[in-house]
Amino acid sequence: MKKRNIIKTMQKLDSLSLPEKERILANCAAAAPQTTPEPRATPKTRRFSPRKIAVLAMAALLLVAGGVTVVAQEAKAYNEAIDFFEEYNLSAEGFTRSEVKKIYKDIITESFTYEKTEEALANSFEGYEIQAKPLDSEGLKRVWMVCRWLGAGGRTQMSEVDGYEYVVLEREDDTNGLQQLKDGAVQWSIYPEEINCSDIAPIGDKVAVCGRLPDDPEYTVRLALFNEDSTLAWVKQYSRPFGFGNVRYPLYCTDDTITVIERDFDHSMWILTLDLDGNIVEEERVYRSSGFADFEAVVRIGEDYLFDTGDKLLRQKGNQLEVLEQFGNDDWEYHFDGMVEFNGLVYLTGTRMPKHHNRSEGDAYDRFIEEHGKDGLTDEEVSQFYRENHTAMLMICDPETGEPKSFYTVPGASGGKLTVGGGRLNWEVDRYTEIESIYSESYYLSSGNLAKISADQWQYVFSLYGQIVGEKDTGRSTVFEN
Amino acid sequence: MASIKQMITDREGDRALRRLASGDRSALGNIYDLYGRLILSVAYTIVENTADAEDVLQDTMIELARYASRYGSGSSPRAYILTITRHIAIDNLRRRKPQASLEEAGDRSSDDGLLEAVEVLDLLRTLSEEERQTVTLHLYGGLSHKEVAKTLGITTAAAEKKYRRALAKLRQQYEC
Repeated sequence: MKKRNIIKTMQKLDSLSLPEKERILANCAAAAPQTTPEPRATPKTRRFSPRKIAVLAMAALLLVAGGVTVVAQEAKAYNEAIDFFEEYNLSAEGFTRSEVKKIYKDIITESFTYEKTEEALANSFEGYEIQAKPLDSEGLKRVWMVCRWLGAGGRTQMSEVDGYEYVVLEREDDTNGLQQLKDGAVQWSIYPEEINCSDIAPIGDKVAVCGRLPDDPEYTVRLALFNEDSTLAWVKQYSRPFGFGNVRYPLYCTDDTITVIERDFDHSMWILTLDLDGNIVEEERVYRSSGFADFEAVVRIGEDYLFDTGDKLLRQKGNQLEVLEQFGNDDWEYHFDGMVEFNGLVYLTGTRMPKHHNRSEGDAYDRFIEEHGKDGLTDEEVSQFYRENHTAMLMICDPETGEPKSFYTVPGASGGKLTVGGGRLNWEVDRYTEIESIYSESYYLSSGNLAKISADQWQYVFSLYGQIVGEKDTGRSTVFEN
Repeated sequence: MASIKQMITDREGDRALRRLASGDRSALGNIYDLYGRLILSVAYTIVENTADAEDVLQDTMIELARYASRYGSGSSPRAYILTITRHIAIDNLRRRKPQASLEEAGDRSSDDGLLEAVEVLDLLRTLSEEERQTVTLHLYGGLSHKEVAKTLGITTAAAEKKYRRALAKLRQQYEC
């Protein structure tokens, strides 16, 4: 049976008689609005980074000192500038002494107006040319902030431990297994009877696994710990108290704890912390002031968690979820599909596209429809629209504040998954090659798609320090419908 | 990304949900006009009879009225509403005694419209519960795989996998 026929059959649901509106809504009048009791909302705050204060203080001190004894201090100032360059991995090659000092001053005063500064920073970020537009003063500032952060060092949370990497294996019969790799070579693969592997996280020389078995009661979840040699250390089953709970992205491990994160039906999440024997040692419920407390990915920052909800970064503050950063503006919105912490920085992957919930008149979609008409769009017009309006984004954010520090873009593409391995961050990007418009007859059969997109999958490779060290066409193609 | 029609519907839905959240109860009528049939149909594929589907529709509207403040502006109104619908429909299934098989649902059908709708249940009968919901929410509800994943509480990759497998099953079933 072709998909078209399946859709046509599904369309027959439209023939169900819709009950009278008045009858259905009659009982709604008695439903008084309710709100779940929740903690007082915390206003959005931005902490002024101690590091930033330190750098600014250092800059102020240097400027004062430099003004008093300019000539006598020339050698000292130059040496300071060189130390600074070395500390932040900037290259002074090709610059005069005077230029080095000016670049140094331009950076520490955060003015970013000296023309040589861009050259110096570009030498440290040679892959930056994939950006869609040239760096302006603000862009340079962001690049520098990344350099500064990296120079200060940071925590590393890798998806591999000691060269060992773990992946979930999927079979057609819906049973999932576990595989260990070292330097890309398979060490072992298992399909344990005790648990159907869903999510995994390496912990020391072991790997924690979350999942269920098909006959498990609905509101239960299993957790297991496997040794380095694939033997089962333990498996336990847990009952959860809430009705609509779902385990979404359950695992996050530190040296001596396993964390399982669950989404409740309303705007809250549960964060369970377990010891390495599988005993629950802490249970927290965190709230979001509005909207589902849902998320695409999670990383741990210090004692708290940072959640990617698709277009916002949320941070756990006590038992509240605070919006750190909301991406997008009146014209554009961002759809982030994944997040990893890599060498102390938070990387978000996604796609930028025109905003279609814009209350102001005449956004990109409106104009597109007005220009071409709802029913007269050609494949070429749709292709052009997508290529011009969709941009793959890799956003690099400060884990403390959520503030974007730098970004990479690829026009006419959408951002794919992020993986970490071998001291490298890999960013997959689907670069659009062909777009075909598709329609549906039914108003309610809204999956009558606008576009069937063919794309080539490219991979960009980043170093520990956020520099692009390579790019390649994977040779893989993908087709997806939207 | 979605069809133009869906975008327009969802934009109106977003406005209506925000109005409802701000206390404008008349917005509930707009939500019914925009999504009533979708709610009824998705509920029907889960509870498999029209009486219970109408109950789910009503309970969904009540839930929307009661907890309108939970809707986050700018979210997908369609995904938000269908998540509630699915949960209520599953609760409806759990509460009632196991009695309504697909065949019985078909036998109870008395009008042409219902007979047509029963064909959908016949189509979906070989699929597991989650596969069935994946197909319904994606192909009929218009949710993206990502939104389907959120609604079902599974990963996007799992949602896509279930969807592909469901399509393969349907193809196999109807080509043999």
